[in-house]
Amino acid sequence: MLNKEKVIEAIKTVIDPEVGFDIYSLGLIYEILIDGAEVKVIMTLSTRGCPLHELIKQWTKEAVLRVDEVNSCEIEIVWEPSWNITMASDEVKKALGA
Amino acid sequence: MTKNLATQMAPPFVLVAHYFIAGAVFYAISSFLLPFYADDIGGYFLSNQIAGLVHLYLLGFVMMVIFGAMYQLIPVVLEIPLFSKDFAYVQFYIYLVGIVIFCLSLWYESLIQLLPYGALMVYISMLIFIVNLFLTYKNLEHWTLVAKFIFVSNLFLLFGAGMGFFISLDLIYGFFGDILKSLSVHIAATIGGYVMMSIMGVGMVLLPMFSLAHNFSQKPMEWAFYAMTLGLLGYIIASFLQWQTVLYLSFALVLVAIILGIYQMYSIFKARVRRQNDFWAKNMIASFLSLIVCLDFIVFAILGDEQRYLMAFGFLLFFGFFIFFIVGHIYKILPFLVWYQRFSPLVGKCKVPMLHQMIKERVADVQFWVSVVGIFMCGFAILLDLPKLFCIGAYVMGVGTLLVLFNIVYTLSYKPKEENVK
Repeated sequence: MLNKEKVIEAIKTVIDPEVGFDIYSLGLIYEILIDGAEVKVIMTLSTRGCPLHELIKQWTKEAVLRVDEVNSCEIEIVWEPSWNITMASDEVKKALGA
Repeated sequence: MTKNLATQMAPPFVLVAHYFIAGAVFYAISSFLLPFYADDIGGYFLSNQIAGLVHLYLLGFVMMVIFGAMYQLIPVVLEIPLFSKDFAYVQFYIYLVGIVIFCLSLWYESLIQLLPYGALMVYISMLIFIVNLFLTYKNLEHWTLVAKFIFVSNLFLLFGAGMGFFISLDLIYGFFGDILKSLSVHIAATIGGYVMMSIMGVGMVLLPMFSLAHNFSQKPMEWAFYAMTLGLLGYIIASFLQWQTVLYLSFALVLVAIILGIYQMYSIFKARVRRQNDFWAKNMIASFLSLIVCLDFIVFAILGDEQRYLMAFGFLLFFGFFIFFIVGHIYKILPFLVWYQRFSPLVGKCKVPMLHQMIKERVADVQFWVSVVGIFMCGFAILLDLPKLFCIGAYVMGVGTLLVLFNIVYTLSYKPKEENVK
């Protein structure tokens, strides 16, 4: 049975190579919508104009599609609300010195 | 799998690598030539020899890296594909040969007749860059602050490099008359207009991106954009028309623009959430501190009419501000390019390294402090007119350069070790 936890675990395999943390812990994932075997991820990026923009989007999609029960995945990048450090996990905040 | 937008837009790694590797080589050559100029630090600075070194450093290193970085940054920052990648390769080779001819003809009297040919090649290569950029801009949808900075900086390059070509003709055929006036306009347009405005523009993307800074106002840099553009235009026009008061007012406006730019960078740094002072952050701090000291020296030079302050200003601007800013970003951009080329296709399939692992951080750290010591020694040597101290300081800076080169080679040839991958 597909649930949010399985999708989150998959998304946690996507690491931002510049910061060194997974995108879920960084707080870049705003919403995960599941409809049967279809998943929609609403997310943001830490910086607009980031060279990794499309790659992170692509990696996230591929990671979600690796979950057995998922047939399709849509990724939507949004800029509102803009990302800030309060959205990150405590571990990330501590490691960044924030 | 369909090609994603980033892959379509991003220039091939090999293109940017051309510029970065050539830039590193020219950086090394100019660093190792620096000690031989120790006796010139208190003297007249407009000799052909010094002009040769300055152009080797500025054209070969500073602008070479800026051109390469622009090819990488423009598509992602402005979200438009580059008009032509082929133009970028053609530009590179014409530029490279032009720089070599230009500098050699300044250094060797027997080759001086070749100077305008070298200058023409350099100018043509820059025209290719500018045309490529302007054709790229045809697809631009949002005139962001960064887009405005890059556009105006290239207008100044168009004019400033053209002036440079005419100065080279003037040196051989002597038709301009007052070469000092032409030179000051050439310097204002290329260094102030192109290099500084490019740094200010891309700094608004790079600094927040690498320091994870948000929620800061862009107002200071917006004001800086208008002040810099107006100040430089006023300076150029007043130089030609010999309007002394407008000249000083325009110069003051340029200084105000740079101060606003420094304030903007400070506000970004204050807003950053990535608080570790890694080698990039240290380089940025040193870079902007050098710029602040530079501004003091230029004011002293004008008020006191003293050559040594002018020399110290030029030295700190070139070998302090530019080096720290560029080297700090080479440590960030080069690993990304290599990683993007070599490891991004492997994401999700096997373990890949983090970007910071592709730099020897300890070496980068030592290099930073060695460069700081070298620059301090040279700066004091210029102020106190001590050529021997300058020579030693220049050698110390040379050691710093060697360490930068070590890291560049390390990144380019990076092969992950088992313990280095996450």
